[in-house]
Amino acid sequence: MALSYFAVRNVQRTFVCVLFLPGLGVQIATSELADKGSYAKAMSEGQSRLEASYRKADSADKKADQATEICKSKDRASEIELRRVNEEQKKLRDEARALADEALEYFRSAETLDPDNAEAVFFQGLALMQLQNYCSAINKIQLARKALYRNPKEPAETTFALGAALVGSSNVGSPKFEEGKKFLVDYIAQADGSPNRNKMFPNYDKATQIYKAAVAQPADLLTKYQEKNREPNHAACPLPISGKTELPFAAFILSAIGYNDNVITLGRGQSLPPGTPQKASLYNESTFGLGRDFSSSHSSSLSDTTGWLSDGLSLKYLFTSDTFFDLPDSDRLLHTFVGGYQWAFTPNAGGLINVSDQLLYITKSPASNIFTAQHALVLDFNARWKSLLSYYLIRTDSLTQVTPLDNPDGFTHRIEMAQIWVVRQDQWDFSPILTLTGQYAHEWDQPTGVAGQFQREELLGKIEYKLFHARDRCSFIRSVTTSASELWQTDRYSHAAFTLPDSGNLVTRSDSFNQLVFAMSIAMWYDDYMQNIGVPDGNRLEAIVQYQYTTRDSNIEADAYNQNRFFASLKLNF
Amino acid sequence: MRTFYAVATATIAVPLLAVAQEAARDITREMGADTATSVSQGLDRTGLHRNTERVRRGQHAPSLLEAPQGETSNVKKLSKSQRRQLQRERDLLLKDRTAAMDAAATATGASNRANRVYSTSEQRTEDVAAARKNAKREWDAKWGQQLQSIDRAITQGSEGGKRARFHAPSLINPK
Repeated sequence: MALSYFAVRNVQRTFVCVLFLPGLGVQIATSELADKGSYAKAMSEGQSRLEASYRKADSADKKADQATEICKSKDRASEIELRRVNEEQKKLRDEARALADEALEYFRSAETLDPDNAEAVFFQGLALMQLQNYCSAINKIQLARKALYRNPKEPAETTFALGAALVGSSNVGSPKFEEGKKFLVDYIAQADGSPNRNKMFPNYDKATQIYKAAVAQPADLLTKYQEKNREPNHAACPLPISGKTELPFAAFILSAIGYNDNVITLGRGQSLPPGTPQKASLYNESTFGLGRDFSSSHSSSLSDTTGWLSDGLSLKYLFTSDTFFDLPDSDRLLHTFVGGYQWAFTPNAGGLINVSDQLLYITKSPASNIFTAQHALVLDFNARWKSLLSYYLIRTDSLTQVTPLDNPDGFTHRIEMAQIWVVRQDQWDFSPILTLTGQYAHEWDQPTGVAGQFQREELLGKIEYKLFHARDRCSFIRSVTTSASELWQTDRYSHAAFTLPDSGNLVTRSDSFNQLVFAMSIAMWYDDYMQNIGVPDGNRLEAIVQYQYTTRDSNIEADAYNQNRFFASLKLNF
Repeated sequence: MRTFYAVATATIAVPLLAVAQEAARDITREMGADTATSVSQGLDRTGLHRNTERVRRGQHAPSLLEAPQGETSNVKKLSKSQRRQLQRERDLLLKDRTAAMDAAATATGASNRANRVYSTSEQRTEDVAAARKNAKREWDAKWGQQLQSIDRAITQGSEGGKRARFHAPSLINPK
């Protein structure tokens, strides 16, 4: 009986298994079919979006051609037409981008439905290329190639895509650029050897054109540089359309930790003021900045290259705070508002106006307001020499109570000449490698109250050396730059105000100020958004270290001091 | 005497306060925000001196895919008169083709009537369409290449040295 019970149980078990397992198999097979169906649907949707994106991009290219034609006539009416065409082009490019974004999402979901299928990975690469996210596109295409993805109808399409992505994401002089060219040559060679080139290598013409353009890039860059050298102020026409940005302005946060061994600029050998425990302190400097540059151009018969000269408006706001851990009474906050406009008179000369207002708080109380207006004549002799002749009107106002007699508020006038010389340039893209700068200025003031009038002579010398700059978008380190500068100031006060202890004679004060600064910055992490908003190296992150040594000598002993200041900072652009 | 002392005190005090104003400018320089100079000391970490301190550098080399510098075509841009001439030739050829197709359609109708072939209106429409199609095919065989080369000349000539545009590899049908 027991046996038969077990036998029955076994039969039942077997019966259940016989019924259930095939059912499970059917379920698995059905589920696989459903996944395959969803995969096919996702791929189809993605591909149609990508095709639509290509069509939009084609239409945008036609608008670009239209804009180039309009640029050839240089009258006022054509400027209005040009603006309209450029707006249409921008709209089409934004639409192309949106479609490529959608395509990417479909291909990503296709990959989750069939993770073993490299086709979805390859198409993600194509969508990323359309989004100009070349570094991620290269990764995807390489992954697909590693997984041996191959379309039997177009066997070399990954070769073409990888070659195009490498060449598109790098510049001449970069190993990736050369690697990209090799892939294109390989694709072209395979196509030439194929009896069915038109069907199996549909991008043969494009590959040839891109390869030839890559070979011609050094000559193209040289031509562009020679135009810039002849006419530094000429503007490209049409003006390049700026790409998508995260925000309608550039912003950054900078945070530094530093050490200042003489925060209160205590004179040499002098005693600490009462209530001041020390003169040195660790400090934190934090800066928040906002800004936007607006580029524009105007037609000019003086330009032989494009017929257009460039202008620009610049707006910036900075908020900076220094917090001294050991000397809280020296804490300071600074608000800076700056607006600037520059315009080109000729291909080599232009004007510049910069206006700024700065509000300084010391220990949270308003201390000073400084208004500065700079008027400058800017001479760009060529792409390596630049001179600025400036006049500054500076108005300083104390925001603390002063009596009329001792009111130091007033105007300061400054005449300045700056000379910038690019001594050495990069052999491929002609960007500055070694730059020398010299600046001379003369200042005099007109204070409101009984004067502590002074005259100042100032000399600044600076060397800036770019040790490294990336030649492709995918390198993490974008650039490494070092600089060294020295500032000399000589101040002569007009009125005798101090009594010499020995002789009892009244003397006028005179100071000699000297400041040495060494700095290094490392720009990192390329981002298209940063490039589009105008960050020079297109970097998200920047590490800056700086050391500064200051010495002031004076015939008034109490005013002569030394100071060492060091800080290390991290700047985040967004 | 009082006035003298007041002036003397002020004369001593004012340089100190004036220095305090200079200290304000020194502080702004230390904080990387000196706007009363064209050139920054050290590195321009706040970007305030970008417009004054930097020489306009050469254009950032554009990606070859975004602004490709394709080989300049050997085809020269057509002048207006050249384009008009080509357009006229094209119109003449198209007129000739239409005439050939119309003639074939008319001949089909006449032939049907002559042969007294009974046909419905649908059949007659089909016959005419087929005749037009055949006539077009025959015409294309003789003159099609000429029409195509004129089309190509018009297109390429209007593009002149048009630069290459990138197209990603053509898409395959999903599995």
